[in-house]
Amino acid sequence: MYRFPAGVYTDVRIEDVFETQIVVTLGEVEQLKDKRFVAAFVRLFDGQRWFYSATTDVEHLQQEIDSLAAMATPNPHIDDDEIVRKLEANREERLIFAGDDDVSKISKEVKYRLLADYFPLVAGQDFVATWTGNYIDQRVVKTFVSSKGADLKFDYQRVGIWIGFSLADGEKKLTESFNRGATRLRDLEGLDGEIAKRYREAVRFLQEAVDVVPGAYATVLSPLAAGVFAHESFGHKSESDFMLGDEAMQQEWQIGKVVGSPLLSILDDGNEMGTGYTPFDDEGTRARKTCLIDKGVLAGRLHNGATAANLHEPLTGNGRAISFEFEPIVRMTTTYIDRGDLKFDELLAPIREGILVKTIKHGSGMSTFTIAPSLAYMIRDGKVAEPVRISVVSGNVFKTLGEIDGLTDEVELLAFARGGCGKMEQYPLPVGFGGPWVRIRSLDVQ
Amino acid sequence: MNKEQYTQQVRELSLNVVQTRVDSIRKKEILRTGMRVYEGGLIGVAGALGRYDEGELTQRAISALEQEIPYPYQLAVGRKEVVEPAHDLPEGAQFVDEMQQMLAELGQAQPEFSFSNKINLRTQTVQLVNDLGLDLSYRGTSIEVGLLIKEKKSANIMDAFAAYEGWRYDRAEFLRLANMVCDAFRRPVEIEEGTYPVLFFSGDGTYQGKLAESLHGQLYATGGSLFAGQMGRRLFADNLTVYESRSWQDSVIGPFFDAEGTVNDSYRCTLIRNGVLVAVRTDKKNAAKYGLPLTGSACGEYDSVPTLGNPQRDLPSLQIASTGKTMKELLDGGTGILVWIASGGDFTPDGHFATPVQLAYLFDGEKLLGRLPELSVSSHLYDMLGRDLIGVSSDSLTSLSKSDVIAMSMKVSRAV
Repeated sequence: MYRFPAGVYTDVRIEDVFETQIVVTLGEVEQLKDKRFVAAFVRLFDGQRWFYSATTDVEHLQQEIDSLAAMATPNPHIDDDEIVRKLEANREERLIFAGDDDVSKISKEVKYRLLADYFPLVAGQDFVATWTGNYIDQRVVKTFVSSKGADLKFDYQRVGIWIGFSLADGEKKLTESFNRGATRLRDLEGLDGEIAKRYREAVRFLQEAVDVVPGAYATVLSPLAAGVFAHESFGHKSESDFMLGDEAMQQEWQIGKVVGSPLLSILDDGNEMGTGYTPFDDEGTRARKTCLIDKGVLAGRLHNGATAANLHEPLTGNGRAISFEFEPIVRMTTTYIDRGDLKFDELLAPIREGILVKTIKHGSGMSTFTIAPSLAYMIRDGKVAEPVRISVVSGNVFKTLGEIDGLTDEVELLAFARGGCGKMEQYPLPVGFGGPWVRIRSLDVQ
Repeated sequence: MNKEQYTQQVRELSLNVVQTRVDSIRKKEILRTGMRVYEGGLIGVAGALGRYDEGELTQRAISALEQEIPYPYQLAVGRKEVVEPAHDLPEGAQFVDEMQQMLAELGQAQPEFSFSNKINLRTQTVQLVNDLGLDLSYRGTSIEVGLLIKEKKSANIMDAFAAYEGWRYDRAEFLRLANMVCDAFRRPVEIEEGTYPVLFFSGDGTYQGKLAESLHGQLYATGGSLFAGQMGRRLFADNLTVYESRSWQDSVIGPFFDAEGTVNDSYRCTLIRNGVLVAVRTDKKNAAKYGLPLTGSACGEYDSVPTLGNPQRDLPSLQIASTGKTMKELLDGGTGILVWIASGGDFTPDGHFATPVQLAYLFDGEKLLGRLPELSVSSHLYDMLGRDLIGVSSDSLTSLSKSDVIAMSMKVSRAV
């Protein structure tokens, strides 16, 4: 064990990582690799400033601790510091992927075969100019100890496949993909029907899509688009590190403020199994389910130790880092819009002319949120109609949150093989997101 | 059997800034080593993070040959070259002290704003060495200042930014840049909807995304690119020249060679010359497979087989050559819209482009005249870089790094 220096708070996070990557393009194997490595991140706090070290030299972590301590100013009252007092000292071992589902125990050949069995669904099919199949997995076993007494060992795991294809029909081009993440390899079996359906839908889009007439439209978001909307439009604003020392923001974001439609509730939960699963965060805090918006009213926000102490609110288990190279900052886990009470047909029924966004390329959210649709359709007289090409759908965040006027009655939580959430230098962080189908009165469509 | 070693080493000192003061200090030292072996037209790769045993790593790479990943291409041979761009950056404790002083001055000059995020000092060493005499080495120390700016009374997470990445640091010049951004932010100005000269920084991925994707060699050769079948044809304005750069003189932070050891003349490769498509991006595999010129565009992680990468994700450093006029001359005595933050926009598959512009300044080619309201801009790739291209500036907004602008006439509307 380590000798923790006096007068400072110290924690050590060691990550034992196993990863596989398989890439096949036009039937040729480009990557077929797995690797294992162990690396660490050390934090030290003297009550005034944090000192961090990211290292692959896990044999000499005591030296790292000591070198950080030499930069700090010992504080005899460090145990009374609000942040230190706030941090949890959990002691537990929770390894839930250590059995037959442990991807480090499954051969590359089995993983390759699972991926390759899907290739005929796109390879050689009409209009397919080029295609790529990806398989990825990652299992991370984290150990976390702190000078406050924390002693944790836990794991998480992510698997996924991504099949991308570019279609061409004369001058018409389209790039589309199927992207599925999960926590166990067996969850990636039996996806033939969904992949074939995505290909057929893309072909129809290629052949029939027309340019949208720019304007303001009633818009229905798929659970995927709704999840990204929740994540981008409000999730990031719930990350309370942006409120540190900012009185204007603390005034603006008071709990109890009406921030959206009374139909709207948004939650974040690190206990949800999927790519946002975070049983303990990277400060050793146990996961919580946090209600961010409850029926349109601001109900909570996401914290790490520093923000919870600063704002005198409870920890939420959202101090996350993308890898051993970075310090934990406030991030989402699995964030989703809660369900409503409509069936899909009922959601579309009142729309005379609108837009349905089914799949997306990306989204973003500042004062304006954006979604760049991939597959989208017109809605005419309450029915899904012709496919349309759209550059971007956008809206003012708070206006839009207030214009949600319908939700279907089932929530779909999604996980992806690739990509993730980006916040400043830390990208990509695996997160989960989702929601029901969501109807918004008006969005700007271009 | 041939053997090749690809090494990446990063040493970094990173300052996290909260409320205009240094909140934390992070040091990082990471060594990544990839060992490649080639035999019988196959490649085997193994990687190590941190310390490693060369014999064991080589043996793992040899074992990886069993995966039978084809690589029947000529390895880079015989070239020895070291590139180490000069820098004038303070290091260690001096770096921390200097940044604290800079932040203190900035805070005093701009009391209505707070500043946050990261300032990084990074030394990156990349080497590619093989037993055929190839010995390429890049070592660069660069600074990355990425300050988010928030008006203290604002309810936004951020309102603007002052950022650059380069080899130089000059406190006075950075403060001039940051003060210019803040001062203009306090001056709201209006414009009517219409068509205006819209200026993006020439390296901005917002408008470059479709261009980069369409120049992907494999996508081009298989017919999936917007430019498919257009080699040798004029697609854009006569004065548009686009090249992929690995040159430090273009403020490219990183090695001058690609992941296969290909080195281009002047570390640049022209893809569009005077509006004519003259090349698409290739690695050795795609150059050989489709009979295209090799452009030295291979990429990959340290322990990967080098490939051309994904057309949408692995984006190159595309540079647009200056058309000879300054920013002031491009605006011809008038004003334009300088896009400062445009997040979330994209192209349709056929090249239509639209993006919200969360922050833009009215600009006369020298000064930021004021902050415009949130806007939307739209056009089409062929129009933006064709008939509506005004030009690419010969000068930059700051002397700290290349920050030239491309001016295009675009439709501008108010955000809804």
